[in-house]
Amino acid sequence: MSRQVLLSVAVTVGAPVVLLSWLWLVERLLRPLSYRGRRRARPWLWLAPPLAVVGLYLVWPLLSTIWTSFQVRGGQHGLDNYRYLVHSGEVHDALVNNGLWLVGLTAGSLVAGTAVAVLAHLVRWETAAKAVVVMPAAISTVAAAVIWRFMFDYRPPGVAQTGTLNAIVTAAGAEPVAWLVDERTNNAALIGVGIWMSVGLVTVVMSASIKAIPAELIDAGRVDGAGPFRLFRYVVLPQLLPTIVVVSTLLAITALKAFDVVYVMTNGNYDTNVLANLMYRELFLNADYGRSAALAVLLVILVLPVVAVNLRFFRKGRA
Amino acid sequence: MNRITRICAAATVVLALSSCAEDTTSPSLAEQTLPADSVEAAAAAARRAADNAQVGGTLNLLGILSGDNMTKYLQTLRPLEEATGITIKYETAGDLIAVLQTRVEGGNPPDVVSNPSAGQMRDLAKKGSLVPVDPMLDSGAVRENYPKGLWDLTTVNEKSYGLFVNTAVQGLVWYDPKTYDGPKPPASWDALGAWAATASGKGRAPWCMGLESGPASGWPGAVWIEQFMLQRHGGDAYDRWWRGELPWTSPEVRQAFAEFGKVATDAKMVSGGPKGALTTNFGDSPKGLFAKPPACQLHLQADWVGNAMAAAVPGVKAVDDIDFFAFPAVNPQYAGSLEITGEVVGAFQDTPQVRAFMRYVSTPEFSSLVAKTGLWLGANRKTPLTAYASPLSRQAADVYSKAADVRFGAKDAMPAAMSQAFLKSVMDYVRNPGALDSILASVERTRQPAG
Repeated sequence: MSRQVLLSVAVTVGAPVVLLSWLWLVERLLRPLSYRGRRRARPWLWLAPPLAVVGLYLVWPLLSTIWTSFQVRGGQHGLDNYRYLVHSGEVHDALVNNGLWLVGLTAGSLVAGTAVAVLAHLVRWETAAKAVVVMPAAISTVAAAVIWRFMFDYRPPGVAQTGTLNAIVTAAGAEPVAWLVDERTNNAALIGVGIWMSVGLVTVVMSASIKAIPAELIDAGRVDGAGPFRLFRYVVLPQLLPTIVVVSTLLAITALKAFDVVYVMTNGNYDTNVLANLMYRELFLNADYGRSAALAVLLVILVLPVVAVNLRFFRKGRA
Repeated sequence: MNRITRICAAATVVLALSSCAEDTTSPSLAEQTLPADSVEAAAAAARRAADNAQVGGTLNLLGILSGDNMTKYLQTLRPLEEATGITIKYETAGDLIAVLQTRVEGGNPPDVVSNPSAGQMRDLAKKGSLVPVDPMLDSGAVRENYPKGLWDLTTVNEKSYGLFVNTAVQGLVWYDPKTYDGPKPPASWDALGAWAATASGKGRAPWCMGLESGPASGWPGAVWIEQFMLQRHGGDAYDRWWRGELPWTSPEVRQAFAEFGKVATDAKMVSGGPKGALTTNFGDSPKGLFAKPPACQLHLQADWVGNAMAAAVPGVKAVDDIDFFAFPAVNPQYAGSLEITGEVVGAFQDTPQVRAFMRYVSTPEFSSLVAKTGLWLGANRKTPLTAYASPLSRQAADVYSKAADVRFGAKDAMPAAMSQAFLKSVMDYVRNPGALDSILASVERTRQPAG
C-alpha cells in the first residue's frame, strides 16, 4: 500500500519535473542557434517526448502488426493471410455487415443526435430531454447488449412474450419476431443498439456546437424572412458542418470496430458477423496471429479514408 | 495488489454475464454446507497431501464458474486451505479459453487453471506451457482411479498434464414423471422416436430444446450430435471425429447432424419450432416440462439439470417431478455408450502450493466432497455411491459406473478453433437445414488433427 502511495507521488511530482527539465535542456541546446534556426527546431524538440511515446505505443505496434500479418501458421512468411482475406466468404460477409454498420450507425446516430440537439435547444426542458438521450452513453456496451437481449427476447407464438418489443408486437395482434435470428431484422437490431449507445455523445457535441452559433446570424436570417426549415438548412446546418464531419469520423470508426454488441448478442451467428469479431476469434480462440493481424491491417486500411477525409476537410477550412 | 485483483474480478463478472455456460442453480443449493464428517475426512487427506506441512502462501486459480457454482466449488477446496494455510484465489473468466490464451501469451499464467476444454489443455501441453502432473502425484495408484479415456485426453508425449476434478454425465433424457406418458426407459431410440411421432401427431411437441448460451450458443445441440456420433457410429469413429481424423463431410458426421435435425428442425417435434430452440436459453428450456400445460415432455441435458430445476422451479421436487433415463441405444452394437464432460485442472508451475493442490484433488476424499455438492459427479472412480447426497446425482453416478463405454465430450476435446466452428455450425444448421452440406464443408476447413 505504502509503495503504491510512494509510486503515485513519484509519478505526479516526477513527470512534470522531468518534462520541465527537458524543456530547460532544449532551451540550453538551442541557445547557440540563430533566431530562425531556433524557431525551426523548437517545436520538434518540444514535441519529441510525446512523439516518442506515441511512436512506442502506436507506430511500433502498427509496424509489428503488419509484419505479423505476413506470418503464416507454421513459421514461414507469405501472402496466405491476405489470400484468406480475398477469398474467404466469412470475411466478405463481415465486410458487408461492417458496411451496414458504417452507413446505419453513422447516419442513424447523426440524424437522431442532431435532431435531439436542435429540438431540445428550442424547448424549456432542454437539460432533462438531453439527459434521457445521453444516459445510455454511460452504460458499458456489454451491459447494454445484455439489456437489449431482454428487449429483443423471443418466445414462440402463443406463449407469453417476455421481450418488450415482442410484447408490443403481439399486443398489436402480429406474430412475434425473432429479432436477433431473422436475417431481415438482426443487423438492424444490432445497429440499433449501437445507435442507442452513441446518440448521446452526438447530442452533447452537436448541442455545444448549436450554442456556439452567433445569435446575430439567426436573427439576420429571420429578418430576411427565413422560416424555421430554411433557417436550419441555410444558416444552422452550414455552421454545424465542421462538427458534423468530426462526429461522423468518430461514428464511422466506431462502426468499423464494432465488436462488443455483436459478440454478446449473436456472436456473429445468423449472418451478423463483423471483422472485429473475426479478428477476436482468430486471435484468442484459434491463436492464428498472422490471420488476426491481417484482419487488423484490413481494419486500419478501411479507417484510413475516413481519417483522410477528415484531415482534408480541416486543411481546406484553414486555408 | 488486492484492490487490483478485486477490480479485475468485478470486470470479469461483467464479462461472465455474457457466457455463463453452466450457471443455473439457485441460491438454495449454495446455502447448504457440506457435511462435517466428509469435510473432516477431506481435511485429513489434505494434511497427507501436504505431508503435514503448513505450506502457506497463495495459489491463483483461474476458472469458469461464478455465483453459486463457484461457491460450491470453493467449498470443496476449503479443507485444503484450512489444513495447509494455502490461500486459494479464484478468478472467474466466463470467456475462459480467450482469457487463458491471452495470459499464457502475455507471460502471466495463473498457477492452476480449472478448464472444461481438454482440447485447449492439450494444445497448451504441446506448446510446453503446462508442467506435467505425474511427478507431483503418487502416479501408479492415482492412475487406476480414473477412466483411461480421461488420462488419454491430457497425456502428451507420455506425460500427464491434467487431472479431472469433477464430471457431468451428458445426454440424459429428462422428463416429468407426472406428465410423460412414453416408455421409460425406452428400449431404443427408434422406440422413443415412434412414441414421439405419435405425440407430435396429436399436436404436442415431444421435445424442448434451448440452444442459446451467449457466445457459446449451440453447445446443447452439439451434445445431441455427439450422442448420435457415439451411439450410431461407436467410440472409435467418435474419437477419430474429435481428433480431426474423420472429415466433417463424412457420411457419419452428416448422418449425426441429420438425426439431430429430425428433432431440432421440425416444428412438430420441438416446442416453439426451430426458431424457439435457437432463441431459448439452455437454462430456461427445461422449464417447459413444468409449464401449464406442459410445452413438451422430454428434454436432453446433463445430470445437473434435475437438481437445478428442483431449486429453480417452485413446487418441483427431484425424482417426483423430474427424473431421467440414459440416452436410449441408437445402434444395439454400441448400447451403453456414455458421454461425460468435466473440468480438468492443470498447472503452469511447480510450487509447493501447486503440488499440495494437485495431490489433494487426486484423493477420493476430495472427490467425495465434490459428490456431496449435488452439482457434479466426482471424477475419481473411488468415489463411493453413498457420497452422493442427492438421489438424482446418485442415479447419474450409477449410470456412469455401469456404462459400457465412456467418452469425453467431443466439443470440449477438440481444439478450441474447431469447437467454435462446431457450435456455429449447429446454429447455422437449425436455422437453415437445407444448407447442411455447405455448412459441414465450411466446418471442414477448420479441421486440424488434434495430435
